[in-house]
Amino acid sequence: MKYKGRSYNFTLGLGITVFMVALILLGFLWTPYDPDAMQGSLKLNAPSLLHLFGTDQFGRDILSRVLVGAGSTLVIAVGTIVIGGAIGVILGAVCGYFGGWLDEGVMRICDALAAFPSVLLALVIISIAGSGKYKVMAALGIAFIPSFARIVRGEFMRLRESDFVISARLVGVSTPRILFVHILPNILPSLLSSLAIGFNNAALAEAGLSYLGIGVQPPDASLGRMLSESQTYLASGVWCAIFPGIFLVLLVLGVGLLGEGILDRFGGGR
Amino acid sequence: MLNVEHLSIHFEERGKREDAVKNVSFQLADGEILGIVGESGSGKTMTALTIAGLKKPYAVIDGGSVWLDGMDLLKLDDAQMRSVQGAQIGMIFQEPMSALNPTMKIGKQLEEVLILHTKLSKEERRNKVFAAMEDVELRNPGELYDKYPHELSGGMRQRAMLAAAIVCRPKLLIADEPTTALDVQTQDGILELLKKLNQKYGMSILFISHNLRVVEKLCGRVLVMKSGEVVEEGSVEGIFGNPQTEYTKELIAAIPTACGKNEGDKSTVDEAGMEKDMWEPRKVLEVRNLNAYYREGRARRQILQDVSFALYEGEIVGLVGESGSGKTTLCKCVLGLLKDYEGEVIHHTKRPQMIFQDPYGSLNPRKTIGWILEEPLKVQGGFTKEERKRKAEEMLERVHLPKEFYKRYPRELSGGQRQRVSIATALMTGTKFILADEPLSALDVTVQAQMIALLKELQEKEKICYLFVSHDLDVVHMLCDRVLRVEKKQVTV
Amino acid sequence: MKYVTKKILGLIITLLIVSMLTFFAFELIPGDPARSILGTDGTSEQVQALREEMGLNRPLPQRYGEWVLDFLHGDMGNSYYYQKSVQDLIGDRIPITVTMTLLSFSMILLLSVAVSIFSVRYANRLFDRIFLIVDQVTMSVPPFFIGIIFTAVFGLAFHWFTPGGYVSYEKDMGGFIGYLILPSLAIALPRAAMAAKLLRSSLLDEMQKDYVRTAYSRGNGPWRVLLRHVLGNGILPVVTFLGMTAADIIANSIVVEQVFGIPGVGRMLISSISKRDYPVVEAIIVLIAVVTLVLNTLVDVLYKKLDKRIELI
Repeated sequence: MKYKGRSYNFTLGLGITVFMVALILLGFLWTPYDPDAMQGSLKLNAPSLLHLFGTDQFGRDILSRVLVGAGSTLVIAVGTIVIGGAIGVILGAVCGYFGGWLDEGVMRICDALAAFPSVLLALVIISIAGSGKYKVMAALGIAFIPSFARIVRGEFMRLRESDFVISARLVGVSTPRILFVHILPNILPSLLSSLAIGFNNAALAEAGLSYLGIGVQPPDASLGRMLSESQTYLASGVWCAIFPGIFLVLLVLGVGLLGEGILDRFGGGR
Repeated sequence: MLNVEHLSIHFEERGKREDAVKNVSFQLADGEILGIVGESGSGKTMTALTIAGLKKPYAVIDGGSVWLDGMDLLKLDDAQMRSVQGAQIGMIFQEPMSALNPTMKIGKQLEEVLILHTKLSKEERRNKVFAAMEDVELRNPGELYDKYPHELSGGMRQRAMLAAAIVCRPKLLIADEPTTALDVQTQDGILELLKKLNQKYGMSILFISHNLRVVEKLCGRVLVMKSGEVVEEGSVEGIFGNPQTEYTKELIAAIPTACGKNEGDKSTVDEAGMEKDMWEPRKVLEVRNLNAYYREGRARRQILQDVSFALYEGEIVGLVGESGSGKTTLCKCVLGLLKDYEGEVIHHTKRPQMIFQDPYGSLNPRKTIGWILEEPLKVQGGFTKEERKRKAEEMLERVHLPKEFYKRYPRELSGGQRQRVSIATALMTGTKFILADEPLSALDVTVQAQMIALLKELQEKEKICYLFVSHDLDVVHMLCDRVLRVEKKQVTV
Repeated sequence: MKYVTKKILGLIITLLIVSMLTFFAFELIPGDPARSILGTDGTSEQVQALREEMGLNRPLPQRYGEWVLDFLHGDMGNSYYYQKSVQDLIGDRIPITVTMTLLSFSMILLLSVAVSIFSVRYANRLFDRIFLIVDQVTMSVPPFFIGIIFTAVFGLAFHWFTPGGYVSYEKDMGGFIGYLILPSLAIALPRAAMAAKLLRSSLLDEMQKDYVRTAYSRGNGPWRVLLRHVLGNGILPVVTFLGMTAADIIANSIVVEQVFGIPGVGRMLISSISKRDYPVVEAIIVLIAVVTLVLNTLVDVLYKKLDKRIELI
């Protein structure tokens, strides 16, 4: 039974996501000012027509820095779900469909990895390998493998026993074809929505790590570090904190809505 | 006592209007048992739920009234209606497992009715609950009181539901398909019980069912509904002996009866007899000395012991047995899905195929009917795209579906149409043997009759052999040439 | 009982894997611990002597075994930086982080249950629609940003508290708890929003079930149906989520401690990472993993206990 009223999650989520990603991509090519250019005369200026988001303690344009910083976030979050998603899907599919000792072993290790909150696991990897954009991406990617593997495994286990898969086995369809042609399309909505959740967790984790000073390192701009620096000037320049924060929230909100919208619109299967 | 006058209800969802109940009127006298029969979508359940004050918010009452002892139930406010529900109207439902709260003890669920409608002390409530449990012939009330629904059998759950419904001695009991989810022996027990309660307390019963056989056993008067309207009304003898409308005749004709077939004829023909038959039927499946096991942790339990039988081209063989008797295990061995067995399973045809009980789960929801039908051909290989499409369309015609279904998705089809697609997919492999696991039980009676016709037609035209698994003995006797019975690890013919 | 034994066995195996992964991961770090302690001034003889003293010359498996045994006895090794044992360093910080975690958890539980019940009772009405919007936005805000907003609003604008003015629990218990309320709330809000959303949809699913109709047919009112019948069943699917919440709270407390200047375990972890004080990092990480794993196992067992009644559906 459907609940009353139609869900606007998909449309709204897609709208916000496209708008935010477009802004960030624009930031790769063009920013209103040089994000690193300091101007002593413009320290902690409130938002104005010249500087829409205001300026920071060194007189740098916050809008430009937000765009470039969000760029790092986007690159790291996408990289994370590509690494974590690809490995997680393959592991989950194989474990879920075949079960047995392989499944037992891989899932045990996943349990062990999942015992660490993913930020913590990333912290461990960073503390061993050192910080920086690509190391953060790799660390988060590895940290996210278990969550994807578990979701995909659950779905494959559920569908392995379903009537239409048994039917395909009786017809004589080969195992790889059952895995990727018969089953995979059926889990696509839940996979996509968990990728959206993964993207958000990665974006938030990156911001958190950078806030702590162990994520993206200077000279790369980052929303997390902007927030961390803004704390000192919270009384005199609240915009230094507000705009990077809201930018991050909007990106996460859009992708989150999109993920749910995918489930609303394409999930369920029937 | 109960007087329904000109009741009309429609659904409204996403601006679409659909009439569910159209101008329905009937009376129910004190101590009478009235049956309402009809297929799904006939409006019978909607009528019952409206009387009980349980209709969904999207169902809108257009007009009419429901009088219970001189009070119009449709004019009561929520609080007034709540004092009627449970106290003056008791209700039981189709699926006793889901109708009981899974995390609440049986005793608490019965007691709740008394808490809501009486001011009895704890002790008095307990005594009343025990008395009600005895009324519905539940043994050991003291023990059952602290049990959860899942610890009871299906029949016991329905009795517990009934106990809660009658604990306040309502004048009216509404029973919505109360026996549908139960097996035949348990069904009869519940029907007996309803009769007894009806006589003992003079309680009127409104009995909703799609099963005419059950209605015939229990009710004095019957209402036949179709698409929201009452099409016929009369005494049981009148309706069954002399049906007036085409629809009622159709419903009665669809009742599977054990005497519909000359039993002494084929069902006693043994294997030797079959082989001596005129046209020398070919074997499609042989099972020899099969021992099958089931692994439970480290323990290996034997499910089947020394089972042997053979199936022949063009016959329909029933497979019956209690749940847990090893029916499913036998099927899995036959299909090659279970490897842990000793003995031989020999197929004299292409791969065995299967039709499932749930028509909604057996077709891949993300693929078109055409894609599903072509899959066996892709596995075999050697067909061009055009050939595959032509063959799939031919197959659709053979199972009497329009060619246009080639481009449709399973969700656009009805249950009966999906079962036809399942059969078509099985036939695409070129097999002569199909295992059908309860293929009719999810379908309406008239659709069942059409499906049976199709199965028979394919049996005769294409010499398909079916192993027909079912718990509905009537259907088995009507459809099958022989019956295999699984019992105590053995299979008897 | 069998289930519990199996779970505990599984827990022990997982703990072993966790300890091995952590131990060997820290072995991979380039550089010599003895050299890190002595700094660049130490002669190679001194380094050799210290290596011998620290047992670094013994084979790896033996060192792993000793490390695990020491850990079980409460000996977590020595800090490179502070010249103190790790257990002394983090001992008086643990109560801070634990208090914050418990506060957060209670807030998540209270907020999500209360809000989702109202939202389901008035499903698709104004309250529910506003709730859905606010909930979705709250879910998207990282706790440390909420913390910064709290600091700006309640600290700088309203002067309800002094940012950075942490009160020690040894001095003033009331002041300590008071200071922890906003940080805990910052951690709790996004997670409570997620829990409320899950609970809402789980409760709505339950409302469609047959036993709800049965309950109405017996004369129950809507509130009674919701609280007595639906809540107990609807909360089951959310139990697992609440169990995983512990890990999430701990992870977020690392960042939020930084925002509010709270000297908890998380801050120790971060400062040790930047000082490359590996024994401290290693000990804290293993500690967090153990707590998370034990909690998860507890939740699994609890769930099974609640779920046992409905497994046959």
